Amino acid sequence: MGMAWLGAASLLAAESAAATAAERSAVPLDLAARPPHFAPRARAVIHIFANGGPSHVDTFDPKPALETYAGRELPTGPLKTERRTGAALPSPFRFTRHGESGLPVSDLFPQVARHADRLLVVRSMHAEVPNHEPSLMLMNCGDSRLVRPSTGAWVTYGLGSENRNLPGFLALCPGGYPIKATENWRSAFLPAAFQATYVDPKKRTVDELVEHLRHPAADRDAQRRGLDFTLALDRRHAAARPGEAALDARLETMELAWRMQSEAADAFDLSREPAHVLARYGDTVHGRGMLLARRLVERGVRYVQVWHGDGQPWDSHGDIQKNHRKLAGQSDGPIAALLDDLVRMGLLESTLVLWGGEFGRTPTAEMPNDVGGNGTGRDHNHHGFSVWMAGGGVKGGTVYGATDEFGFKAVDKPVHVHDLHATMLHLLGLDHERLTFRHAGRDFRLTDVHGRVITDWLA
Amino acid sequence: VPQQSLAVLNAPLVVEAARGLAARAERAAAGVGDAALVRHIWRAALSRDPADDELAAAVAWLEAERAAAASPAAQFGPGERLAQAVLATAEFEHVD
Repeated sequence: MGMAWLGAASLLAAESAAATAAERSAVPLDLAARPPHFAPRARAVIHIFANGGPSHVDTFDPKPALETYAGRELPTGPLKTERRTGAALPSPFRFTRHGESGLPVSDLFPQVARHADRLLVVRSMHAEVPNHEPSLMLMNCGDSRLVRPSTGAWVTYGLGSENRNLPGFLALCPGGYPIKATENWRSAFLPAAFQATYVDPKKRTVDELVEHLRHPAADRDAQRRGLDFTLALDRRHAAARPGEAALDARLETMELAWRMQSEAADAFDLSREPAHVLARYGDTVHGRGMLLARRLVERGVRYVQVWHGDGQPWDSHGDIQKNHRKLAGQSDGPIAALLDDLVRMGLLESTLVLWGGEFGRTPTAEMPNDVGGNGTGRDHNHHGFSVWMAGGGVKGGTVYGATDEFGFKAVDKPVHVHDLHATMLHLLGLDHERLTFRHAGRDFRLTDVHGRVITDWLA
Repeated sequence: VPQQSLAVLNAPLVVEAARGLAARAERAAAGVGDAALVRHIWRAALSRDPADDELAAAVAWLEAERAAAASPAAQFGPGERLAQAVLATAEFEHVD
């Protein structure tokens, strides 16, 4: 074998002697862990995306003044949103105070409320327009209109991942894609290795969640020698085409796929969890999504985004009482189970959990229209909305900022999505002004020319 | 994304295509030699002849794999694995 193998030297040895594409490149092209700019508070992010726009005045931002004007126009009138809204619509849900902090949470999230003292509720978020697509792009990629890399892509570009045998950035969305599909987790002009890997938590078994993890006929060693031959041909192909970043990304992805064959079989196998743990999360798409997120972060994955569902489930234009009750009921237990586990395993302090949508909803009732408006639901509201964070070095049991008396607009300490991004990067040990990528003649960053780190959020 | 690469490595579609390609190449090269077999795979998959270094490397790879084959009745032999290796290349999978 030795002699025959030497015959391949011209092709194979030359390549193994050369540096890999990632080593040659001045910018990171792979998922090797890289040091942050400064000491981080968080090591990983779990972003729970309540896509469609959860109503803040029904969840984390109580507005008793709406009762006063129930069925009547607000003295300030409705602000302009996507569709016409009319009279004040008081929340049909009851708020109570929780924990030592007395943080108000509505009865939509009784289980999450158990963790009130760990939550930082930001009530003064605002976005730019009252429409799903641009607001999804802003929340995920930092720009409402232009094609920009997603936050998870920026973070894995900056930090790599702590487990080279799994993707560093995953998007879990049950049943299919959300609105704007893969654009929500794209790498755009960053190297392709930093886009998210999509997995559908509607699937149950490992072989369904991640298909083709095993070769049907070849043994592992033989398969590896075949892959080495493929990669030698690929490097020769790439060397003749300098500057084709997609070819470098493919080499990296083939190696990742090879390593996933062993690691993914373990990470995605929920049947390895004890029955009592599975029971706490619940055998639902939302339970499996949260449990997968925990198992991935536990294994050193950098960034996991868990979507509520395909399309835009939280978009309750009509009958908010029934729809929000159902949506919160699906996610409350699994989110609380995730927080329970992160606490129990000592992972919460190094894992930033972010919950929220692309915007909130109006405190006024949506007028009858053709998207389900019938006076019992709420329109999109980018003027003011809430998100909460837990762990990762944020100050729990805290309310930051405020909307106006009725919950329409962020008025006290307004927080733009750029500020949220800047602070998330800060928690991860990254300076949002230094995390740049040169493209089309200038340096780009997640926060464009905006964003400020909100030090009041830091524990 | 890695699922695409996993499919290239393990999907039944790819494995069956490799089996078919190897069988045709082995028939075409019967009694002629490995260089003919390699040329057949390159022409069928990549629509070109292998470069000299590719040809030498592929022939050497086949010899080494045959020597290394532990079980004589390998289900997925060296020819089949070479065919899959070529079907897995960026050159085959992507438009240049």
